[in-house]
Amino acid sequence: MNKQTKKNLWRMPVLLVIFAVYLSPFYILFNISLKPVTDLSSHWKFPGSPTLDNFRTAIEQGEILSALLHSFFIMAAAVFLIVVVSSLAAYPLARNRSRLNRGVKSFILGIMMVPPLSILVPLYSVLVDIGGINKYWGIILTLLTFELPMAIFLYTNFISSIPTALDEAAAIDGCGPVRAFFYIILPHLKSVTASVVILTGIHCWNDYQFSLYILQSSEMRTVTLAISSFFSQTTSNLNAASAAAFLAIFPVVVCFLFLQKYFIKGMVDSAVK
Amino acid sequence: MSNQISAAAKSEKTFAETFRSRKVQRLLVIFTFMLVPMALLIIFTYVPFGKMVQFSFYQMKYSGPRKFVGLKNYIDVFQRSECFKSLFVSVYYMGGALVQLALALFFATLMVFKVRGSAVFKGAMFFPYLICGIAVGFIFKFFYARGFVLDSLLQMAGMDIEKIPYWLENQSINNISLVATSVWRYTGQNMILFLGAMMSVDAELYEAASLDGANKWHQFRYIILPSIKSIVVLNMILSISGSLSAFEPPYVITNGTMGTGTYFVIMNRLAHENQKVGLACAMAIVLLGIIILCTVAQKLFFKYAFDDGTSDESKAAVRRRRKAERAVVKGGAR
Repeated sequence: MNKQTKKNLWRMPVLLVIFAVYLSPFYILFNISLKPVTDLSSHWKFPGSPTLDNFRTAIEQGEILSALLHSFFIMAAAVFLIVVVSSLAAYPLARNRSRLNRGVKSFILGIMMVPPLSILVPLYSVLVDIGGINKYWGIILTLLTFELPMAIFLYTNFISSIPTALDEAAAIDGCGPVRAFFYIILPHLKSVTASVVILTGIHCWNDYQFSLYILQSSEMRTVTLAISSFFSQTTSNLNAASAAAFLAIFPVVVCFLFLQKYFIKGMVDSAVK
Repeated sequence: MSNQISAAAKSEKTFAETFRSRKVQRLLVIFTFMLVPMALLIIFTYVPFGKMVQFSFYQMKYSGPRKFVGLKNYIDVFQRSECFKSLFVSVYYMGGALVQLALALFFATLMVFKVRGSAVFKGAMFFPYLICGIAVGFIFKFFYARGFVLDSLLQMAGMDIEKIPYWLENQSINNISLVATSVWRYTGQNMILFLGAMMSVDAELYEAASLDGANKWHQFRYIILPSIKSIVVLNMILSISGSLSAFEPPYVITNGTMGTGTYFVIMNRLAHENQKVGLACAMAIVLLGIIILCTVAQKLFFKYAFDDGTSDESKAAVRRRRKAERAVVKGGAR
């Protein structure tokens, strides 16, 4: 016991230093966003008279609030579709074993190897052809498609771990495959769905490149687009830009504080299984 | 006559029966459940991929006339200094990925044994992974700016401002500054993965090992390392394609100027600003080729070094299991 506490003693300072290094950028960001533009003291010092003016500027000039709304709408729609489509697709993939099945699986999972950025240029021209530029459905379907392989991968692995005896018992009782999915499999999928929602939600929320190419009209801007254009507009007003950045990451901070356990579990699920 | 009727009724019945039979229903379910994702994947990834191959042989803009130029774009990729040189920038990111793996392993071993407040530490280190690259870029642009955050910290520590390098302008150091931001961003995520794997080791193993006289290094080498082997391998494979496709740090912080342009930054500039769509497509294909080559080479290497790099079973065991599975499937079909 004594040995144990002694061990912790040298670990604690190391961890505290790491902790400070990790959080200092956020502290700086928050600090600057509260400082009036005229305050030129060191960036490490907490402002003498904190002000919310920077936030007002960011909201009025950067239109951050409407951008938050757009981002939220796109993320919600994309995540909902991802969950529906990938859980349905994963069921037959996990339950059948045939050569075709394996082919389809590698057809889907092979896309995970390709960096999405590399395909952006021709994707843009396809979207132009089908009229998906500057449309919400264009960006939602694009995000959906590029998140699908990972979501299907997670669901397939999870469903494979549910014993097939359950399906077979249901089949003997005269339950078809569709009903088997909804009544037998679906109730088990809660925890993996939480992981999928969190992982894909984060990716959709933080997406920059797809939105940059697809949502070109300024009325449809997402948060990432809004802050990046605000940064380039206001190179002189760093305080307002910090406020905008702070507003953009604030929803993620709140979600993370409340759902930390699920975030970490989702991350581990995506790689370990 | 009656015979005929009954035969017709019989065939009808068998049609209904076949429709209701499990096998057909299963096929129907497979078809309907897979229809949407397959359609999406074909339209949004495989069709663009085909177009990319086609575009790479043309000199073209997004709209307007196009001219067939054969392999000229590919030759350009290797001859234009900006394109090919940018591949060497990725070496910095690969180095960063190794540092990141080592740091993540170190942090994870610090926390695998009970430490007070470990949830808070974990949360703080993981959090940078969750915020968007644009905001991260902005924070660090600010962090590195002359006389701002980092410089003032160093000055407080007693360094002369004249001796502090320009973090983003000095060509011998600016890539390292950029890589540091991505190390900061992703180390926590790697650490979480390692921790997850380490936690799955039975705690009694450590006790048993220490009873048998194993020290900390032995515990790491023989208990922790085997349990995280597959994740380390996975991360190394990912780090190659990750460092070749690094984009956000240089794009946001320096916009790829002063020798920090990674491959994708250059490609984005060619496609978006110069509208050299054909050349950009050729670049993308060359990159994909490199990534596939690296992945295959790495997989072969790890297969050679660790039997079957991604699972705990040996190759022979995997083969036996596959064979057994196939036999079961055949039996089921009959």
